[in-house]
Amino acid sequence: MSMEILERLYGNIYYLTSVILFVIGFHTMLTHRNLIKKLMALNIMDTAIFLFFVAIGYRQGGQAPILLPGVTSFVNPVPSALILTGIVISVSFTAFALALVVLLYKHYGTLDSDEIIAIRGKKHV
Amino acid sequence: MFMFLQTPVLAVIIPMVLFAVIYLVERRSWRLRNALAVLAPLISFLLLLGSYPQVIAGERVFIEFPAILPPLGMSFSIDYLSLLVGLVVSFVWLLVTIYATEYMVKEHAKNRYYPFSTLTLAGTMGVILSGDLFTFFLFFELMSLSAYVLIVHEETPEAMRAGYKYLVLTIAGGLALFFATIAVFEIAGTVSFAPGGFIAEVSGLAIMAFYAFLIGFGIKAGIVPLHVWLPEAHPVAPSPASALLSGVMLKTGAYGMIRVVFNVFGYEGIRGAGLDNSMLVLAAITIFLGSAVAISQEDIKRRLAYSSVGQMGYILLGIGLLQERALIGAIFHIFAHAVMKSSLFLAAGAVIHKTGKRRISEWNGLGQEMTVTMLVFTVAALSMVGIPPLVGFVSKWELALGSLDAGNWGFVLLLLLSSMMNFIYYFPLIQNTLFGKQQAAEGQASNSPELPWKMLAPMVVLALIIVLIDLFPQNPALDLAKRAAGALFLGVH
Amino acid sequence: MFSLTHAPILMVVILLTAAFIVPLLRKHLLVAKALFLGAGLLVTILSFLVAWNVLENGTMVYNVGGWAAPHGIALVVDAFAAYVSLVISVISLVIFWFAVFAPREVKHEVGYYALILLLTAAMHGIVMAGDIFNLFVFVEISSLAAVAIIAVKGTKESIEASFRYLILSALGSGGLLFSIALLFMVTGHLNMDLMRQTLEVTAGQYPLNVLTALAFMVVGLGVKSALFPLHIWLPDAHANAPTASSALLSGLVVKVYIVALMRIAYMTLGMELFYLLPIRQILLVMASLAIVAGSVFAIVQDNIKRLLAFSTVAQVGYIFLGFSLLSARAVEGAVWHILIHAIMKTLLFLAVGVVIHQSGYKKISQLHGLGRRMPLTFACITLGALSMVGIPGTAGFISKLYLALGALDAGQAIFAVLILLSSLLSAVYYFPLIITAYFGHDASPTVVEPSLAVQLPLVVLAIAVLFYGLMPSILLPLVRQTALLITR
Repeated sequence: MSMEILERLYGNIYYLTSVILFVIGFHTMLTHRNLIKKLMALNIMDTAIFLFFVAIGYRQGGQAPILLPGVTSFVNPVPSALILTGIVISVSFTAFALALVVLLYKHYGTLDSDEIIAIRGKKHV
Repeated sequence: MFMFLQTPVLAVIIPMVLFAVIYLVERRSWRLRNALAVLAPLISFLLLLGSYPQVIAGERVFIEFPAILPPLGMSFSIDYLSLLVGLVVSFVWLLVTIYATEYMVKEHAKNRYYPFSTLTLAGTMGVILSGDLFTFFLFFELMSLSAYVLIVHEETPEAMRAGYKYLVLTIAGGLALFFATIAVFEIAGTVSFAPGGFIAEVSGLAIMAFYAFLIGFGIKAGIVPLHVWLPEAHPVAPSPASALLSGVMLKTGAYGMIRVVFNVFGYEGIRGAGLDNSMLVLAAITIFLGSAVAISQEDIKRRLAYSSVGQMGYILLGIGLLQERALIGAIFHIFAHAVMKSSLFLAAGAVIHKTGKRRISEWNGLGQEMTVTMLVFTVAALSMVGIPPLVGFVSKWELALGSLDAGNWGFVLLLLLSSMMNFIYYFPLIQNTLFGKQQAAEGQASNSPELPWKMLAPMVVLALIIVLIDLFPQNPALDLAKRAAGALFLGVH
Repeated sequence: MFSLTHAPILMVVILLTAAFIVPLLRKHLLVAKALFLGAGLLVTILSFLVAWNVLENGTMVYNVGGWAAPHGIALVVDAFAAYVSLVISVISLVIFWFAVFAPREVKHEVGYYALILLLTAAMHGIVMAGDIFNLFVFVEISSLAAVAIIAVKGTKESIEASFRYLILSALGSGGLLFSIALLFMVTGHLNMDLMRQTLEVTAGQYPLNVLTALAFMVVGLGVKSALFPLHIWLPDAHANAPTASSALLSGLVVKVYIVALMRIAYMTLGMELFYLLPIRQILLVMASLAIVAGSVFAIVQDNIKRLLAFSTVAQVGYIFLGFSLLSARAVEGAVWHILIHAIMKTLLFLAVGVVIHQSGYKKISQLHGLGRRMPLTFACITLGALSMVGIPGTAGFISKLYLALGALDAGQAIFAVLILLSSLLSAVYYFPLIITAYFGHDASPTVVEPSLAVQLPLVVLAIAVLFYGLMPSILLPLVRQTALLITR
């Protein structure tokens, strides 16, 4: 019985990993105050989703979808192609966010999100 | 295209156009501005007068524009009721505007008063000449919002406060009406006023709609728990505006209630669902409290404002009794109260304009200085109390008869009690002004006339109407009120 | 007669191309401005033609590169897409004009224009995308550009606000991508039309996947469209952006994500799912809370731009409310409100930006007597505010009328009452703005009106507010067809 569960888990190991990664990212994002760490967490979450997406198209023992003699089992190429786009988007997001972090540090002198909010709040009052 | 050229549409559109025209010309010539401001109600009045023969002949004027604002559309109509109320409104407006051209000379921002007075007239005429609930609602909002500008005219802190209260309540009332209108549309698929009503079955949603109507019109008409804005807003406005607010605009609430009860729900439906009781209870409270609180007021305009609250209770009573004679009383009282209350406010305004005395205790002996004004005031006040040949008596008489028809003695007693209270708050005032001694006679017996004719004439005309109209062999207003009530009750036009 | 076949893709391509050329013209500012406006104008003309064509001949499908659906990427212009892209192009043209002629608020003008062009291109793309991943890509472009046009102001507050917006927006994108992955897993398609056909068969077999996808979708796009309680980024972001950006963000961007959500959740996943998961009820509750909370927060604001931003939260609630009530008239009301709120909020943000620039006052309590100094600007603000309250005769009344009628049609009178209650609340926060401006002592005699070129967009929008308030029948066929597509 428990073997069966383990086997099922193993069969879905990619999905499982992506969920774990997602949770790690989400948790880090919520609990850490450092802006850089938040961005890293965001990237971990993105990676988790990419893994999930690519895993959809993966087939056990499948090959790259290039028509060669003797190759019968292909990996679905569409998710991989999509995720290339996804990665590009994620990189540009990160780059832009890092640029904003630099500016924030210039203006506030800290990378701690709570301190930034405190400084802003003081100014408002 | 020619649809636009019919009387009810023109009577609404022309003031609207004049609003814009006045805005354009007022910086060039104040004479032209004043002339146009007087012209607007005059045109509306004459147009309505022109359709008098047609309506008396039993024909209902009705024009529809279904393409405007689908899915509800707009329409205009003239029947007995709207003819009577429309004539009263435009006539009083005409007199008050003539009065205002002189009164407002001392005020600031005159260029704001006249256009907005004209726009409010357009809204009021639209309310009265609308042929369906939706059109009614649209013009109701126009009237209420443009009246705000008249109320806060003096821009004192009290005026701004009172105005804000008015604005919030009026918008709440407008939204209640809006809800009720679309609920009716949802129930019946139409909102066009129909003889005998068109709501076949009074469902839960219909009851909600009815109470929403009651709230919306109650706020406008100053029915008691909803009257809180009225005693603040009417006194702070310039006196001509107070006369319009108290004399004319309050009536649109009552007018709307009549339309809802008789032309939307049908009086049988109202009676069947027991909705008339809530009106009667509110009316009784309003009559009693309005009159009672008026006694304790020291500021003359506040006293008049509270008196208006009580008088609106009469009209609601006349509607809620669902008796033909009571309804005649209510409709006639719309006319009577418009004439009486505007002459009272104009007279009070004349005193304030000339002497600056707002407090009743300062009015002692004013009769010597301002004889004509005080005579007008006296006539109107006596009429409010209900002394026989004056107009106020006629409506009370019909109301009392209607109460008896309904088999309800209590309301007759209430009417008597309220008359007593009217007597208590008007009579000492009259006595002191006419026969009392002027405090600290400053001896500056000026030779100048009491008031310019533009202020005197409107008051005198109103007073003459109060005295004479019931002495005619056939009282034209009462005749129209009877026809209107008859039409509403027979369910045919 | 030339063919309109390529018009949909041209709209996106023209804007994208302009976005890449404009920043190169730093030395030739005038040419850059002309190109910026020209691109906007051209796209507006195209969108009118496309809308007319869709009304005449029905839905247009454009296969990019000539590859048909299962392999290629398609742009689908149905009545909904035509309508929304018409709204986007017209409103953004007005904002383009304002951005060109209004006083400078940002350091690098050409860069700012490029970002605005990029954002507009992406919005058109989102609306017309027939391929779900294509839609995702456009959503990402628009999110980045939207964050950027806040940050360009360069103040402390704007950078902080844009960073927060960026993080939440990235979270939302993650949710969206995840749900796309789940849907792809079930259907094996990315084309939304094919997806719908496959789902009719397979949704029953994998209900869990589809429901999870739906949930992630609602949250992901909900964050971006500021659905309460996911709106927390909005007030700061919209209030601290440059004037043209605020108008663009509040007027258009927020709504485009709602359109995306409607396209996927309603038109691709299909209504049957809604009976499995009470998503409509959840949306109804969230929309109601948005309306009430947005209004209540707006009442306590003294800063005008923050007030407008909170009002956007409430107005987004209206649109969601209409779509989730799902009676024909309620959906029509929501569709109306996309246009009408775009007009009024753009008008208000632009006009308030003008006032802030001319007078330096940012708070309502400072506006005393400014109405007399800037009569035209304040006349426009008054119209916009009356319309937000829903006074008859202004455009705002129309959408409220349809929404309230729709609530009654759906047999839920309570939501009609809610809509009217929120009208009252908006009166409570919009009227002080007008009243302080027109009445009371004159505190700032030196303030003057801006140039006519700056006022032109305000006047155009104010006329639009009146026009749609009095004659809504002009756009009615398009609105009705759109609503039919959604309630199908």
